[in-house]
Amino acid sequence: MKKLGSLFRDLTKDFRFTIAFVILLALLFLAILSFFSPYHPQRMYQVPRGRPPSWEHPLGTNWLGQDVFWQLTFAVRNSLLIAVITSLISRIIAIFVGMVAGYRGGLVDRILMIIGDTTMVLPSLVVLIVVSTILREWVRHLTNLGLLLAFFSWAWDARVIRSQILSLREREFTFVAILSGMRTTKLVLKQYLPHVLPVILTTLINNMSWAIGMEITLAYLGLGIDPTVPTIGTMLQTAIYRQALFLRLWWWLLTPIITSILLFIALYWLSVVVSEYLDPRTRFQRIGLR
Amino acid sequence: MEKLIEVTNLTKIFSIGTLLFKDKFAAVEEVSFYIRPAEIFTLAGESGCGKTTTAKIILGFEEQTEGEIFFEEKSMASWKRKSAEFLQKVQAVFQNPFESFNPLRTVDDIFLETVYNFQMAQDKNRATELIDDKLKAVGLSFQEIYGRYPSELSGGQLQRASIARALITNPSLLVADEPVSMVDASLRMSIVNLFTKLRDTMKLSILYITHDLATAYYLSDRIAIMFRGNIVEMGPSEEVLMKPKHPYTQLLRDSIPEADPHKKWKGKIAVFDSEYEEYLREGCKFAGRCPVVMEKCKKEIPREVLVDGILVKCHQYSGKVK
Repeated sequence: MKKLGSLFRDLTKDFRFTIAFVILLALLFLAILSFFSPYHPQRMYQVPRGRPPSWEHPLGTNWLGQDVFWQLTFAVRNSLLIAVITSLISRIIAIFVGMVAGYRGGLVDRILMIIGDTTMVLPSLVVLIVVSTILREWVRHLTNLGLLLAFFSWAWDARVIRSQILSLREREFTFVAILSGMRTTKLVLKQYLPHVLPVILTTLINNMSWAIGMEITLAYLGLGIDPTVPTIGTMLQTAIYRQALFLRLWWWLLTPIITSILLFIALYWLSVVVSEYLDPRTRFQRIGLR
Repeated sequence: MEKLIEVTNLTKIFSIGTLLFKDKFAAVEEVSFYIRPAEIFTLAGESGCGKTTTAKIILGFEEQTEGEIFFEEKSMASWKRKSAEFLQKVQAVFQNPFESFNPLRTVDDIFLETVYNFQMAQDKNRATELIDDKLKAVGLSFQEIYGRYPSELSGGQLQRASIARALITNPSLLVADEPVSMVDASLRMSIVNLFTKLRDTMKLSILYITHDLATAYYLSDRIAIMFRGNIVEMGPSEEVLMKPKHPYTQLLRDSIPEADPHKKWKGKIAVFDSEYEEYLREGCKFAGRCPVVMEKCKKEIPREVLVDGILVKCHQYSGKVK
């Protein structure tokens, strides 16, 4: 616990971390707030439509008679949920594949890497569009979209983890660990995982922002999850589809745009700060030391 | 038991090059030796002569191409490698003390791991006692390593700790792969002395791998000189190093500078063939550097012959003794 405290203090020395942390905390607060919403997220005409921001409706209401603020709380929650599902599942696949391929080597490695490379060279956006068009009904659920996105994001990290394991395997402490009677699973998890963890952590954050971006892209094209379920993507899509600008309901359109910009900045800075913290060499590069 | 471990005709072939231009060379070629219980046996030779590969094959980290190893008169095939039973009897110390411990885990972690994996102790108190015992034998204590990361200890401390870790299971064979080449001169002596003490008190056999003839002479009972995958001379270390028979051993011995101010360094610097060429050479692999090279050496591989109880692999002797 003390260690965590000092880690946090170290990180807050970088203003980017502080900003990112505050933004993420605020968004997390919004996501939690959604559980106390007075309105149903999907039902329409619950409030007067097209009202500008006021005390009663902090971010106004939209043309469908929904309160934009409370819609946003649901949207943030659902978008974060997709991001977490995608990144966690793809990380689990990546760790498993990378470690097995790296430590086992041989034919297993060859097969796993061929599968990984294949998913890597596929143009993911095109395939995602095609797949979500074909599996329209299946992709409408949050978790299913998360799984689909996870399938396209494990390969790169599996490769990185594999190459790390390949180099760790030849180091003397591996031989010492084998001589101390460690079983393979234990050896990989206890001796190698700490070395691989920094990579996993930074790519996890990057993957989260990729997943959110992908969800927005798909929703904008009218694909992806059920458009009545609020996510940042579907909020944007509905606002554009219902001609929010033409109706002069700028708060309806601007809310998801600004939220997504803030979210991307926060996640990007967080990943940069974390990777700089874990690899001091990049920190030296930034301040111009050699 | 006469021979603790016996290695017969051990050969390891690596292939180099791409698919079309593949060349095979033997990193270890028909190496045979044995180690008696409570004996220090040295494998000496220059870098790239196959001594570490031999050690790795014995430890089971590499698979031999040909040849067999008998441990306690049982073939290695019948020992399950990496089984607790085998690892309990054969342990190893490596060259670089900073590499022998995982930099992201504390040093005591791997000690406790060893104790629990081999079921040497059930609870933590017994385990620490046992570890402390072994660390005391190398001049350390559990307090000194507890909760420390490898970067917080000195190279000498780490090397002694890694010896102590190898001793936890009370092995009968310790493979020491250049254990003193990374520590300073004073520590080198104390580690070398520790090895002789372990041989005398614990009846431990040591396969000592080195390129440093001084410690080899001081420490070992018997010695084998390796060159490009072959053992060129093998016998009691006193005999081999004081009265070298093979031209390579003579060359090695002559290259140790003597501490005499009146003696000028008069080594002839010859241009050597590359390592690669030497490995692929027909006939005696030393022919390119040998001062007494004969026509025969370039064509025929010399046989191993016994000269005054010393095994020599050289054409100079193959004619004289049957």
